[in-house]
Amino acid sequence: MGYSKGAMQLFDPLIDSLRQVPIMAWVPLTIVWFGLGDGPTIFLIAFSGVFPVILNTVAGVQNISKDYYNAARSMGAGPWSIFSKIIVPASLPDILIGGRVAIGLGWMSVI
Amino acid sequence: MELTVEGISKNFKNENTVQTVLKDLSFTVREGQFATLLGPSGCGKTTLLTIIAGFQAASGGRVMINGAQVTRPGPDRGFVFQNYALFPWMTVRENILYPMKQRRVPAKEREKRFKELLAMAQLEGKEKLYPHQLSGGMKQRVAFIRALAGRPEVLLMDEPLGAVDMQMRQSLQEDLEALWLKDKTTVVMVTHDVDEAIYLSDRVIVMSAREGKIVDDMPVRLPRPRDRKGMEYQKHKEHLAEALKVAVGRQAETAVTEGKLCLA
Ligand SMILES: Nc1ncnc2c1ncn2[C@@H]1O[C@H](COP(=O)(O)OP(=O)(O)OP(=O)(O)O)[C@@H](O)[C@H]1O
Ligand SMILES: [Mg+2]
Repeated sequence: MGYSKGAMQLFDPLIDSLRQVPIMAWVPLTIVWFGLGDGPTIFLIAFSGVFPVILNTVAGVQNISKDYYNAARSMGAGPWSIFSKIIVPASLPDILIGGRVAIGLGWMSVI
Repeated sequence: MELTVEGISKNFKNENTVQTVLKDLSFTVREGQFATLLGPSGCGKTTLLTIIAGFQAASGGRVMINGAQVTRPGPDRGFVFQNYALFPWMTVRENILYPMKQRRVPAKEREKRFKELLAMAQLEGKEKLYPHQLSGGMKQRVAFIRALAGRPEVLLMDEPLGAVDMQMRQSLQEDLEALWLKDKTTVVMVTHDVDEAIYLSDRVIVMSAREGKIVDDMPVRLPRPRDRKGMEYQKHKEHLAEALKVAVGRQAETAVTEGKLCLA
């Protein structure tokens, strides 16, 4: 998403609007979906973790210097190599930060 | 190998004005030539070099390698960035092997070429280090041999020594020349340093601040390595300094006319 403007425009409003909904508001809905028990709890923990990961990943990909893409392309790199050898490692620090925030939020929603 | 720039133009559209950075620029660089683009800041050197590299499209004209038009980046045109753009998540070794892997060079040949390049740049023993563990000069040499590793037809360099302080610059120019002499790849380099241009190039193309127009195209036939204090060297320097004055002077001229237009 950080790489493609089109995908960004498509998904960004959706992600942003979902993110605005407070976690407690999801509780009744998930109980309807999963019934009582562990189902909703697990879902909510996972759910609260999704956003920071996605958002940080997007930010991470957007932060990659254009020079790295251009360097790779002028060395003959194809799309797959650019993804796996450039985009992923270059944005990994941001993805990991997203993961850390996610664990924190997940814990919060347990409580 | 022959690189031909044919009638290249580039306009940038701002809100309501169109800025013509390059207008109908043409030249040919032949096999093994070290050509330098010299010009005042903002005259369009980087723009031209990135158009040749295929990082951005021209508004008009075309770039040809051996008579075939090129529009996208490709391994036939290596690029050395001003900030080197070494991949920080890869070691020196991985950085240098990367272009060879992309070109599917067999593993055995890759190792051989890697050793060769490392020796050429006097970087033996540094292969396991990451870019942030290198000095500026080492980074510059890694960037240079990484760009050469895939055996490009032409090497494009945007102010490869621009990030280095003045004292170190001269000694790095000497390193760069020594490296280049071992390989003699065709080069197009951008700089705004007159001395650097003469020390390194076979030919200096001077671009004007006004639409990147070529105001001078001077061959440098002095024997290498060049004596910076020599008579001929100094003459070349004076000549280029004059050409640069013309190149900058035109800028003042346009600024004046533009100013008048604004007032009117
Ligand atoms: N993407 C862009 N959008 C709009 N204008 C641009 C863009 N890139 C460059 N320009 C303009 O084009 C002109 C030439 O820029 P360029 O970077 O090619 O100059 P340069 O000769 O490399 O200068 P320097 O020596 O300072 O690096 C400048 O006036 C700059 O503002
Ligand atoms: Mg520039």
